[in-house]
Amino acid sequence: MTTDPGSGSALRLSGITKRFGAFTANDRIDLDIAWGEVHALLGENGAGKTTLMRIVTGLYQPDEGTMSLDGTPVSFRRPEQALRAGIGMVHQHFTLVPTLTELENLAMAPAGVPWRNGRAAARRRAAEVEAATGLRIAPDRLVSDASVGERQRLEIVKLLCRGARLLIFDEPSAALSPGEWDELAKLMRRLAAEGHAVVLISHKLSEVFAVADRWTVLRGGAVAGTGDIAGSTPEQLVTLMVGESLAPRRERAPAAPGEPALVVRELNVERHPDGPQALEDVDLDVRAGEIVGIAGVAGSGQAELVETVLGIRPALSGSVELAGRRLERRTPAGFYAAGGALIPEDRHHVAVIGGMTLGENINLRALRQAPLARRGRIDLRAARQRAVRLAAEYEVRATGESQPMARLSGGNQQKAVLARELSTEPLLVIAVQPVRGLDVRATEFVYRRLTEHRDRGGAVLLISMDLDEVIALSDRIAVLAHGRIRGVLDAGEATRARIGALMTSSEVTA
Amino acid sequence: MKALAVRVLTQLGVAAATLLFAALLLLAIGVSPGEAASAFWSGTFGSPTNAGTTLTQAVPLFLVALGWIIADKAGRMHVGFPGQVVIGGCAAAAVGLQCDGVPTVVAIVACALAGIAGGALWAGIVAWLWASRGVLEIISSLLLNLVAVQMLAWLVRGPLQGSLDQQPQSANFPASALWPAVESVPGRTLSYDVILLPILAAGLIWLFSRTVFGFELRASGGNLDAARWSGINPVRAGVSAIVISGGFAGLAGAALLFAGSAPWLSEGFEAGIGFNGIAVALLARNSPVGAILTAIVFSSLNVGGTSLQALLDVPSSLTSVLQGAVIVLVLVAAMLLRRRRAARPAVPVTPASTGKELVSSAKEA
Amino acid sequence: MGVFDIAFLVAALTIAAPILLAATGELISQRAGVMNVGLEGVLLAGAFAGYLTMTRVDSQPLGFLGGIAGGLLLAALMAVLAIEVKVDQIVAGIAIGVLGLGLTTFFDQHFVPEPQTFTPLPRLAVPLLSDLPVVGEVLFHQDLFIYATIVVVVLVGLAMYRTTWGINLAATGESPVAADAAGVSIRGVRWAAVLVSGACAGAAGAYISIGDVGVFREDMTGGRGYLAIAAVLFGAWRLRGLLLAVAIFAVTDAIQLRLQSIASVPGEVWAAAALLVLGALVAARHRQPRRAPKPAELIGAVLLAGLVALAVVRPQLSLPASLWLAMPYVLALVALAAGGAARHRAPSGLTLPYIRSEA
Repeated sequence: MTTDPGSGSALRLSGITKRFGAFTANDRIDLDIAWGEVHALLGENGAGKTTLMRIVTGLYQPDEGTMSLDGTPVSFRRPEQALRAGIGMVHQHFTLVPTLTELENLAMAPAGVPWRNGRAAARRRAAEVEAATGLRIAPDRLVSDASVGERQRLEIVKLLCRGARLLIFDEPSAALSPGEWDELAKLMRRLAAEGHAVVLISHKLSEVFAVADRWTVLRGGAVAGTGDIAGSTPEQLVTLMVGESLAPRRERAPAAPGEPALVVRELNVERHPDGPQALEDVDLDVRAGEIVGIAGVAGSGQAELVETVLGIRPALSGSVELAGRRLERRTPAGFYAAGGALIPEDRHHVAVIGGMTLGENINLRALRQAPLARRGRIDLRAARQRAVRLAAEYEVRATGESQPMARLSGGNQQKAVLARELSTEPLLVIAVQPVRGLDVRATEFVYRRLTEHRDRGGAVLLISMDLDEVIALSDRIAVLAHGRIRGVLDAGEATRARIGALMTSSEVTA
Repeated sequence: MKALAVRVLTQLGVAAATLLFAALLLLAIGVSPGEAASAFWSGTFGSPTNAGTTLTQAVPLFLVALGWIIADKAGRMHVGFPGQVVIGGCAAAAVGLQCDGVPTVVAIVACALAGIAGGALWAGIVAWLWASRGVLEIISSLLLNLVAVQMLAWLVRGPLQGSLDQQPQSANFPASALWPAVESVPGRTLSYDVILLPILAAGLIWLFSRTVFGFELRASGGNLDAARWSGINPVRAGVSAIVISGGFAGLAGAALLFAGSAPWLSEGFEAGIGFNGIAVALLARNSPVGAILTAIVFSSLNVGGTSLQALLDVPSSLTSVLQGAVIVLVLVAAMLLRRRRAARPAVPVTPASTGKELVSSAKEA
Repeated sequence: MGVFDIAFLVAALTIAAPILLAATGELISQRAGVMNVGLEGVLLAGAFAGYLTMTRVDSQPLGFLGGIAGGLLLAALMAVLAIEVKVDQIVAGIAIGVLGLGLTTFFDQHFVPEPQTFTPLPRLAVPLLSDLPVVGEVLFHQDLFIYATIVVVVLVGLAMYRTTWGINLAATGESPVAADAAGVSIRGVRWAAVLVSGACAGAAGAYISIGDVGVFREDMTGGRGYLAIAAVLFGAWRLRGLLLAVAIFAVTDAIQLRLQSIASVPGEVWAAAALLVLGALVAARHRQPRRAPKPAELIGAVLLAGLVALAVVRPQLSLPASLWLAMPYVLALVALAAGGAARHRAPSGLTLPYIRSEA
């Protein structure tokens, strides 16, 4: 701590290596972060960013290599040691307790003596942080009542209260509206100006170029390059991230929309009995042979829309029509019977059954009706053949159809879900964040399959928080903000700017 | 093949550890384990009569174990077996007492059905509370066990009281209602209901692997939300599983009464079968075939415990200590096995997914 | 006052105290995310360990310490299974319950073949306060255990709602990931919580055997452990709710005890039951005043009318003892069924083992 913050090297990693079994997650990584800078850490999913940051914050211990902070060698066995040394991380999934107030979340800390009450001290520190950075919290509000942006602010205040000098932001914009992001970007610059070090993990180049001073790109667990933002181009970084220059976007045949597949009219869905509605007068059409994308920040009502169409969440009013038939008593079984299919966002919790085999997961829906089952009895041999055939067709890598689903990698699980949902030849596929957590190859595979489904005359409703994904895949784009559809754009006229404008216009009127 | 070997080895390890624990307990109270072992053997399998008793007493344990397996596969971990055994037994006894002069076949079927209905009904309360009121099935079933015990106490003092010396027990069941036993075994201790062991085990395996209903049960138990999202009604699956498991327990109650040694309804007839049946299932790692074996092991513990008390004055509650110890050992063994597997992932799974997997598989255990 | 005299209130308090102490311990444990379904076994362990100590040294303080030690022993086993080995907590709880019953019976048969009886805890009068009418007799003329229970509950209340430790406890049960990120040791908090619950249950068990009755019998806790768990659930994981639940259970149990010796059910029991139903109905209305009555409320109203009629007519009616003995459990079931919505307030991390790499 003798070094004057605001200049010189803050954190220096050299030769950091971390292996899980035969898999090397981090391979001799060197990284240098200085006080007073915003340092962007870029890389594809699986490039080793998360593992590296878990090592820096003390969640993992490196197998090889050294870390030094202010020139002094350090090694963290537990996260609290890293925190005490001044390294804090704002996770994508906030580490807040929703049933406690914001103040109590600040006061949460290892307690030396049982009767200590940290509330007053936490209130004082929060006031100090507010004076220094202008970040204000509502101490007595329950975290569950706070918005995503407010929670993120609390997370930052929490770290600053604990004396964090090096802050790591893990994909902070994923859940933010454009306005909230601008505010966060300003805050990052201010923190850097005050002498803190800021690490921004992202794969969105527009954000990186807006705030960062320097960048480091990871690929396949190793450093692919590092440099200053000034004098670098986005194309250069993309090349480093992917390893080869991306093929230009495939030219797709123009959509040939046919009959309406999904028709949603004046759908109203409640979120809390006394809060604002999750969905308000939503009208939506998806025709056979087109991909309709829903753009919007997380929490705009996407989850409620999916659950209501599927039939898990009751609607206050409105109608859902699938393949020209109105779904009266909406149940998941009815949705599938009418020709629907769903690739859910939350794979672990709602899409796969980890304890069952790959084959049973692939056949999860088909197994319960003819031809695989007759009068309640299952034809095991036919079921196995179907599973093996689909696993091969959808390139699911596994030791066999009887391998437990939980032992497959995330990408292969997602391919199995894809196989299950697309193999029933549905009229409509709802895909929610279908490539989340997948590597480049698997992502490409999913995109291809969805496009093929469209080309065969199927309808796709693509819901994603990633604007680039929506723009790249969709034929039409509906913008959802605060539970309302703010506008529908054709693929040709959709740009980031126009979609962003539609999202924010809603904020003014809402 | 290797997996099976590991499984068998683990099972043997658990058995060995339990025996060691038993030997230590016996030494602690000053009984030679060797003597105890010989007394134990002669009491359980030493003679055809005793072997018949051991096998016959395995049936109720096995039935309860099947009840646990079916409920657990559906993810509904209720522990209402003691209550369901009691109520099933009461219902069967009420019917059985009226069966004087009725043809044997009719009487047996009527009693068995009454037992199944009683157990299923009692389990139905648990199922209803879970499905429509969101009450944790484990708590409601524990409370219902206590209510069932009071119900039995009232029945044997009130409506069903029938012994001549005003003891709290029913009249003897008519001979036509008793379940037939193998004539050639001296003392006629081997009841024909042991044929239920292989039949029901095979039936349950068939149900789980070959029927849509069994598949829906397993899917609901494996991941309730995923089952719901894929069009299965997990509430219906859970309710059926609880009710069916109650039916098994109720049948166990009928078997205890009509194939047991005392042909009347009395307060203590359940004799810990309800909880021991859970241990039987756990020891068998939820395999119906394995449960046949472990049910015989547990029933020999019960039978042998009685003879240990008679011959060597060992407290008969040694049995329940061992049964508790077996559950603990099985849990620890299963977890250690899983750890070993998780320590060397076959594919480069990310550590995060390993964690998830541990949690979800811990739920199944 | 008929049935509801001072002796009745004293009896209710005596019944309530061990359940309350055990339930408070279980509340702490569940707030930390560990549900011990085998609480009954822990109570028994405490009851027997206290009794065993008494047969050897004949000293009540040591007896209670022995009971606490017995409770701690089984709780430690639960903690090893749930926190270290990370097995399913429900199954582990079943094992603890079976073991508690088996071990205590086994050791009782072996170590204390001849049952011994001891004098229960003496009642201590608080000077001056005990001279107050009714209140003095009920509240300030009690044994030490009851005073101690009140102190423990107050301390637990302060710890839960007024200290950093309480925040950490709630965080550990609700969102272990968040607590871990804040540097709170999940293992530490959970171990502490489970051990505290073991000590509470051990002391409560000792009170049941040597403090209240003076003997030990096989399975003598008679379902109090299950009632304590039901009280935690019914109380929606809040201390205040838990107090209410225990009060209701204890009063029914005390009525049951009293009625066993009376041939016909006195009218005031019907009146009291009517008041209880009325209270529940009013509370339900109070929460959501403007809505159509639900079927449950209609049933309640019919029940209320029936009870009022019984209270007015006062028929010569005697009910079997078993009905009254089962009453606390039935009531607990009804309470759980009626409070169905309360389950949403269960700590989200309850019964889930914590594995750090999930963070």
